[in-house]
Amino acid sequence: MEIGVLAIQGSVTEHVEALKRAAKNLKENQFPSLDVEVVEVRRPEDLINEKQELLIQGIILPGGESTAQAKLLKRYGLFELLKDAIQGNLQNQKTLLSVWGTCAGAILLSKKTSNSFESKHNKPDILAVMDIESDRNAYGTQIDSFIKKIECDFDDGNDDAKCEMEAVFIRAPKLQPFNVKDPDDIKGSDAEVKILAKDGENSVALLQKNMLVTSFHPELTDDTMFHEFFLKMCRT
Amino acid sequence: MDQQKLNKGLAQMLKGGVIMDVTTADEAKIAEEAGAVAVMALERVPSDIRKDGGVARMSDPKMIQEIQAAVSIPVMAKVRIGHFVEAQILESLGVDYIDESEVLTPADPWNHVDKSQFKVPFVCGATNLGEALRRISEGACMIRTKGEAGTGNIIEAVRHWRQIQEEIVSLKDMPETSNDGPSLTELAKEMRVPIEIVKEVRDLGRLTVVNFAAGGIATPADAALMMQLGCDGVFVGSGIFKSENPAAMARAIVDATMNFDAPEEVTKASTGLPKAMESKAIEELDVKLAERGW
Repeated sequence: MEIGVLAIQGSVTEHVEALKRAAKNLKENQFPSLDVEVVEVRRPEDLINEKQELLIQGIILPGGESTAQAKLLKRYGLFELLKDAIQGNLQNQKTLLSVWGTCAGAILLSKKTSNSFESKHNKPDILAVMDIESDRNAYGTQIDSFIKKIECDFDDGNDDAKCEMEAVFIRAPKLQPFNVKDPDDIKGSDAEVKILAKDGENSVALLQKNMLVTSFHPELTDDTMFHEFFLKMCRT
Repeated sequence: MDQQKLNKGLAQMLKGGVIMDVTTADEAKIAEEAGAVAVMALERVPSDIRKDGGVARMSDPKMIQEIQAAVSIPVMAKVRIGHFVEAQILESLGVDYIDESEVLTPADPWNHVDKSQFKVPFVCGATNLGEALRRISEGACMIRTKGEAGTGNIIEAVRHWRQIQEEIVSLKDMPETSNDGPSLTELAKEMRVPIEIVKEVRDLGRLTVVNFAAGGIATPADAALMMQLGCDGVFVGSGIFKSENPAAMARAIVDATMNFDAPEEVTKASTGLPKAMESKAIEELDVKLAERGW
């Protein structure tokens, strides 16, 4: 299985290393036949071949500067391609591309952000594929960044689905499923948005079909729980 | 302790990016549009500071606020070495990073700012491993090699980065103590830093914080060179807004930084570019900014 990390800018190497550790854990403890190759994605040819077939099963959009990332996705011809791959709109596409956005990456995936949202009249400068709303830097500036234990519930049928982990929030966005009725004409999809982790009242990890977002940075801590969860998402 | 961990993490989010010196809100917008990950707000770019002479200080808060209002990417600003009141002002302005910079005229002949007293993250310049580790011990969460700002000449940036890398490699087989020859204990004493940080760098094989290249980057190829040498990103000072066409140069340097290991992309970024900034040989300089700081 090949997993990509979008390598425009940001915590790319941190994700690459964490994925490798997670893959090793999974192979040793759960899936002996699992082989994961991690690739950095910079250009369209890292994502698809000439026949428009996907070369990777999943991609991580790392933390970084969402403004710079969004501009460069467009400039390097990755914007539409990624959007199509996540939504299954490529020619010859057999499976949806699994995607995980951390922090800035989560903002890129949200259909609605504090600065822009997708509607019939509005083409946002972000990918806008997931039915969530992100409020950029809602926690404040860097002075308000924090490290905290969060409660996770992966609800995947395992007894150990519920757990705690240390999470690093750096100029984090606030994420929540958006109310489809609320903004006039945002197109919601049928798939339910599940909340996987919470910090008090705030949802900090959400899942919708092939899309995962976290407002914190699992690539900055040793715990590979979320990277393992994402690899399992990519496997199915 | 958490704050430095968070600040180191914040700096990691800038990796692979270009940080550009800007002097007005309009320039900041051009930088953001080109794909800069942050801007450095300052009154005069280093090449003008060189030309004008005199004392270079922190910028007027009004100008910094205008730039903060103009862009959504992080805004950094510079304070004089050791000038902790300028740092307090920038912290209260809510800048995203403070650069304690040798490009401005130093304010304290002995001490750098005690960065552990601040919540806002600091970036500091370094020319060798000892200097880098002293700054990190004081609380810096990001290092930039000093290079020689305002020259458009890359040699000093390369010199400083190679120097740091070679020193890190030399730690590998060094004993903790020794009666004859170099030891980590002796080296830590010489560098005036705790031995723990020296050991941490030895184990990691790199600095404990992000390192960007700075001082002399004038072309896309310069940026790609520093990235291939292992830097985490680049600062471009006079190189963009002193070139013939800042928007084009900014974009080309961003392209080359991201695609640093793909020669065909760096070639594309370098082709047909407007003229780069006016440059200077190091021997012609009256003042070497990199020598400031201790």
